[in-house]
Order: sequence, then structure tokens, then C-alpha cells
Amino acid sequence: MAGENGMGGKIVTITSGKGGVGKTTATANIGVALAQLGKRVVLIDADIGLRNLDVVMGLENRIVYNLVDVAEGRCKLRQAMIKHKLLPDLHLIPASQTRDKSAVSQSDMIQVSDWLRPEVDYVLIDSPAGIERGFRNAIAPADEVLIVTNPEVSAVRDADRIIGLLEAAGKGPGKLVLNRIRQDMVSKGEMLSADDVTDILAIKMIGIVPEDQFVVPASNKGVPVVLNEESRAGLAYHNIARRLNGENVPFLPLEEEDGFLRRLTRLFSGGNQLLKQG
Amino acid sequence: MAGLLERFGLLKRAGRGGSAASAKERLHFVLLHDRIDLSPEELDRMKKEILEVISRYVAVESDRVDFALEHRRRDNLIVAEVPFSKPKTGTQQVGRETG
Ligand SMILES: Nc1ncnc2c1ncn2[C@@H]1O[C@H](COP(=O)(O)OP(=O)(O)O)[C@@H](O)[C@H]1O
Ligand SMILES: [Mg+2]
Repeated sequence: MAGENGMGGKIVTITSGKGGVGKTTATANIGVALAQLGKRVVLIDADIGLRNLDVVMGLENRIVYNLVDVAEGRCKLRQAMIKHKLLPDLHLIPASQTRDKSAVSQSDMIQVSDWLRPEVDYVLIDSPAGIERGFRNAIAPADEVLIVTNPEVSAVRDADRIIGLLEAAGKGPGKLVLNRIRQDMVSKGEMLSADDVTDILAIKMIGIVPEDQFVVPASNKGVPVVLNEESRAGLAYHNIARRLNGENVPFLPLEEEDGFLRRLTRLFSGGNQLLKQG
Repeated sequence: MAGLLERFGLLKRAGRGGSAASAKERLHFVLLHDRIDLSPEELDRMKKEILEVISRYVAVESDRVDFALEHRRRDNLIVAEVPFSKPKTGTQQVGRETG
């Protein structure tokens, strides 16, 4: 069974312009959430030379081959795909840690994506920071692009630049993930709100992820935070996965509420998915 | 009342005096310039050329001319305010007398 649209899986690139805003964290968590929804998912770390996604996913000790080995024909695609420990339909293709971005080309990325398309529902590509070759490689095969930003002047400015470049490349405008928002600061007028950012960038928002104390411990352990029922960021990533999947998930108050309501939402979304699968 | 709404996060634009307001203002400015992507020299030349064209038809009060960059949503606008006193004499039938 190929993907839902008959043309195979969807290629989604996660990018940002500015570094450190949460691309890798978003890729890992949306990937896990999609797999939890019963989707077949492959994550590609396109940050050649600075690989991270493997450690965030807790798969660093299983790497044999990487994306550069595939691009240079040293191994088959299958051999570079690492299966997740808990979710058998989730795989990672790691980046090389020793090579640089010139080791992979746009056509390599398109080739790899074309091979994966008939096999999976989603390919998520974790883009390196910047607007250079690595970014170009990462967006080349994309059907859809998610732009991660933080509610800060520099991050929003870089996101705007990325949106412009995406539009010029015929890939735009993309959808926005606003990461590390703190409602307490927004209420005090000391942090840009989601409305402010949407107003400035004028693109569609696909997720609002709160600043969350569980994110760092999760990456310490290599267990993405979406697997932690207590985490509000986890719920936000889960909701992004559902929206990506075509569900209409309201933004607020679900991402603001605590405890009970959140668990209820998850329960229902899980149930929906089972029905769809069946 | 406003304080109460603010406390419960119901007043969206609460605390506009805070640093978020300056962040937003500064972003508007920065993005405007990022998006236009023209050097100061090019901008200057463009202004001159626009004024040259207008001056062919009407007498421009050049000391009161104002060019500004603005953006509304994703549209970048060049807004020119060009006060003119009277139709220029000696040009080929341009416009009517303006009051
Ligand atoms: N919502 C969040 N709450 C708290 N910390 C976060 C959040 N998102 C990301 N981080 C932290 O920010 C840092 C940068 O995130 P990362 O995903 O590596 O960014 P990028 O891939 O864009 O460079 C990491 O230490 C990560 O744990
Ligand atoms: Mg990263």
C-alpha cells in the first residue's frame, strides 16, 4: 500500500534560517508522533557534519551507514535506515559526522526521497541552519516546508528571509512552527505572541510549542518529549503531527490546558486513528 | 478590569508598553528593509528619477517631498508624497488646472 494520495509519501522539510531554534527537536517529535498515529515515517538528518538527530532520537549507537554513504553508493538505502526501538515503522537516516555539506547534492536528496516515497507515508528532513547549500539540499525534494522560529526579533527576521527564499524556489510560503513561547511573558507584554508573529510573517501557523522543562531531559535521555504524557511541548508536537496529517485540530485552549483535557485529546486522536486505519 | 483580563491572558494586546511592542516595531522596520533589497544608492536614484518624471508635468515643492517604505501583510509599498503647487507652464497639454 503506497501513501494515502496514491503517489506515495509526503516529503516534509523542517528548516529555520537561524540555528538553535528547535528544528531537530521538532523533526524528532513530529516524526515520533506521526509513527504513533500509525504512519510509516523516515527521518533524514540533512545536517551533514553536525549530526544531532540520532542523539535526540536515542539511536546514536546503532549507526553503521549514513546519508553520504547512500549518496556515494557505498551502501543500499535500506542499510542506512535505522529502525526505532519502540516504533518499528519509524526509521532514521543519519547524517555523516565527518564530511561537509558538499558531499550531498540536491539531486541526491531528490533521488533518496523518490526511493522512499512509495515505501512510506512521511519523510521528514531536518535541515541545517543557514541559507546556503545545506538548506538548498534539504528543501529540494520537499512537498511541504515547516519553518521553525522563536518569538524573538532575530529568529523572526531569519524566518522571513527563509519564506522569501522558499517562495523564490517555488516551495513557499511554508507553514510556521512557533517554538519556545512562554504564555506568562506574552501576557506581561514581554514576549511576541503567536498573533504578533503571524501578523508579521503573514503565513499559516501549524503549531505553537511552549517552552517546556521536559525538552532538555528528553534529549538527554534520547527519548523524544512527545512520548512524555506530562509535557505540554509534547502535546503541541502531537497536534502538529495531526495537522500535518490533515486533521483540523484547534490551537487553543488545548495547548494551554493542563492534565485531564490533554489526555482526553490524545485518547480521542488515538481512537480516530484506529478507526481510519481499520 | 483590564488588569483582571490581562491576568487571565484574555486581553491579547495587553501590556503593549512592554518589550514585545518594541520587538514588533523593530521587526516591521527591519523586515521592510530586508524585503526591498535595494542599496541606499539605488533608493536615492529611484527617488530622483521619480521626481524628474513628475516635475515634467507639475511644479514640485521639492523640500516637502516624502518617500516612505511601508508594508501591509506581505506587500511592500513605496509611498510617495509629492506636493505640487501648480501645473508647470510650457509642457504639452498636461492635466487641468488644479486648485
Ligand atoms: N520547546 C522547547 N522548550 C525547551 N527547550 C527547547 C524547546 N525546543 C528546543 N529546545 C532546546 O533548544 C536547543 C536547540 O534545539 P534544536 O532542536 O537542537 O535546534 P536546531 O536543530 O534548530 O539547532 C536544544 O537544547 C533543545 O533541547
Ligand atoms: Mg539541528
